[in-house]
Amino acid sequence: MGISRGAVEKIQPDIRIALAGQANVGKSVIFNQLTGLHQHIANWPGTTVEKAEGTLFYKGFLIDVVDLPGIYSLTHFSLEEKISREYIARERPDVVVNVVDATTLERHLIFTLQLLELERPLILVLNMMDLAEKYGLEINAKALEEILGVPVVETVATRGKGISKILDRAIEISRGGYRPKTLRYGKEVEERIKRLQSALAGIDVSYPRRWVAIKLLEKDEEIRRIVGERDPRVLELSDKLIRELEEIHGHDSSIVIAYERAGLASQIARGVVKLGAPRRKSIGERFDELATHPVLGYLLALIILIGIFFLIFGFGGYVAEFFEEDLSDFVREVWISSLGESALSEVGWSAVEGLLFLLGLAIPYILPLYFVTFLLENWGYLARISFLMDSLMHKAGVHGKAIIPLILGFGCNVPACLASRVMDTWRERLLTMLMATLIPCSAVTVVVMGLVGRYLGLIWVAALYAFTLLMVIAIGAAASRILPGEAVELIMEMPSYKNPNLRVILTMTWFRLREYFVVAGPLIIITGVVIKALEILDLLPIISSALAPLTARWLGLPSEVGVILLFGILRKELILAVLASLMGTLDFSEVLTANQMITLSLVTIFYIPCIATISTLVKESGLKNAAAITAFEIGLAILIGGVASRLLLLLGIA
Amino acid sequence: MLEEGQEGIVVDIAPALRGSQPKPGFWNSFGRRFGWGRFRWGWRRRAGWGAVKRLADLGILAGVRIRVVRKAPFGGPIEVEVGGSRFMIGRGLAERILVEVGSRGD
Repeated sequence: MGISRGAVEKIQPDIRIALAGQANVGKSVIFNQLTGLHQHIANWPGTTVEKAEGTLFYKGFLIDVVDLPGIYSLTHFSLEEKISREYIARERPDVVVNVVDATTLERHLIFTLQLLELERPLILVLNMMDLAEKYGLEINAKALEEILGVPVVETVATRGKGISKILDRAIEISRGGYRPKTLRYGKEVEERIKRLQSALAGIDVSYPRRWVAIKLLEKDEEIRRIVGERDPRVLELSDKLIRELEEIHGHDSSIVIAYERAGLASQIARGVVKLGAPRRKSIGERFDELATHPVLGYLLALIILIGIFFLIFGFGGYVAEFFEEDLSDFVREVWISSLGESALSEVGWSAVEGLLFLLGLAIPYILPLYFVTFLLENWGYLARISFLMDSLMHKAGVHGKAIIPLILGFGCNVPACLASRVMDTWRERLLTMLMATLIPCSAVTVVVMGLVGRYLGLIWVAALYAFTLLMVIAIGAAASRILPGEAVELIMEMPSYKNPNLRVILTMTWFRLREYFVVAGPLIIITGVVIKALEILDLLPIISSALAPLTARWLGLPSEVGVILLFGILRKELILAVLASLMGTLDFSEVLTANQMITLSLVTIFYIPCIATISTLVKESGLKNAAAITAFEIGLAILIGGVASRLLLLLGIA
Repeated sequence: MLEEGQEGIVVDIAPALRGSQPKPGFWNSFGRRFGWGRFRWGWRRRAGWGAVKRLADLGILAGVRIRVVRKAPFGGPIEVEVGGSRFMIGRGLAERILVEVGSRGD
């Protein structure tokens, strides 16, 4: 292809390209084809929406590519939409590459028209041309070029076909002299756009005036605010025009515009697409009948989910053991023999231990998790799970996809939080993360089994788990009512099945894993070092007595528990080990009553997610939300523990 | 509502009714006079066009041919086909899509 890549990030690029398009059009495939291993994954400033950026050299040009989030519209509906339109309008990339699915051109043109309104140089990429041909669709790209006034490139991204042509055209139009056509709406709307446009003439807005006029008619809140600050009279005029439009059409003005746009798109599509023979029932469709079957569909979902669970935690278990035992013992020996045993070397060792722990978390658990979720998403199966589970998960205030993170949560909360990415809106992502961190993970299960299971019987374990799951659903339902923003009605594309592109999935996995290290690593290591230092400085008893009112008075537990819970922040498995060493016995029934065991188990289940989970929360939801969730869960654990301990006393369990 | 496999032409999509807004009236003007600006007495339903707009952006709007592919169990979402694309739509919203039943599978 003649593309060579370079990660020269300091140098100003010659051409900046923004990739825009809806979900499931192969945008990320094109991004990966373009940038290869020269990517940089981060978040958009001030948000946790992922920003993928990459660089490449082509024909002597240094080209910077930004992959905008997959969106369906350029309104103010979601954060992703806001980010995309702000980026295009304010950062003004040299070329916007709009990737569309050639098999459903008409619907994608609606989005293309919105992009054109932003008046940046645009290239329309008709992807999946192979499928379009298979379906017997003939698209007249030349005619489309004429109508829109922008270059049209046909591609088959999965096979790399047409990728270099995108770059050729991008170089061509970035040299200027390029003017896309302004597409006109119906007379009634167009007249009002003109009037607003001329009213806006004296106002300095950083967007194209025609676009601002259209957005005013669409009642876009952000644009109304900006214009209102500069000249309230324009707002009055737009309100008047909106009323006129609504009187003529009997619909909300935003709907009037949306219908105009859709009508225009349909008219264009009819002019350039020739329909061939109708398509036959594909293999995908037959599989769909199974995947969404009222009985077999659930069975299949169950098998796949259990399969993922065992793949991640079965495979992960072996590898993690290697990192935490064999490798850890070996490194420890080397460490001691070279540095000797001193307080300082102990503190240093805790940092090494944190690093090993991070490796033992990332390679066995997070790597396969990323791989599997990208695989399922790329293939298209995630949407089917969502379809089946939606009504069930609705009770907890989220959509069907949330089942995946929640099930993963039983293994480990870290991959569960990461998997919350499959949720579509920010609000749902946060809700899912909140619920996922309350799910008892395998480490918590060890504690519950080792205390309650061993001394009180499995019935009590089952009761505790049933209670926990009810709490998770109740908290989810309550939080979905409290969190700002309304529960949006489910509107989701049901993508057709695609052959997963292994190379793309592997690159996506690798870059996200790398980012995980950067964000979560320092937090895990620092916490380990701090707690070790506290231990060496003999400050632990002080902390114990400081926490005594809470642990001893309110929860009715031995006062040493304060320290135990502190270690539990590092890793919840440590709770039993520290309990044993502080109490000087392995028979916990000697030191804890039945009441105390249940209370301690409940506190362990609900209190603070472990440091690895917290750092994942920081990465996925931002510091503020992570702190809020952590604080909430500590409060919840204290409340539930104290109340449970008293209730159990009333029931005669001392 | 259409059965699985049936198709028709979308006639209209009704907006959602949501939230209460202060109704003009005696108690409200009374409330306002005493500075309770947000005092709410009585309900007036306001139309929510958001979902209708989002559907229109996907090409689901009055005048297009729509086919119900399948319905999810337990009152879950409905899968529909419009213009060669498939979408799942929550049942509450799907029920607001008014469809005129056309001939089957032409």
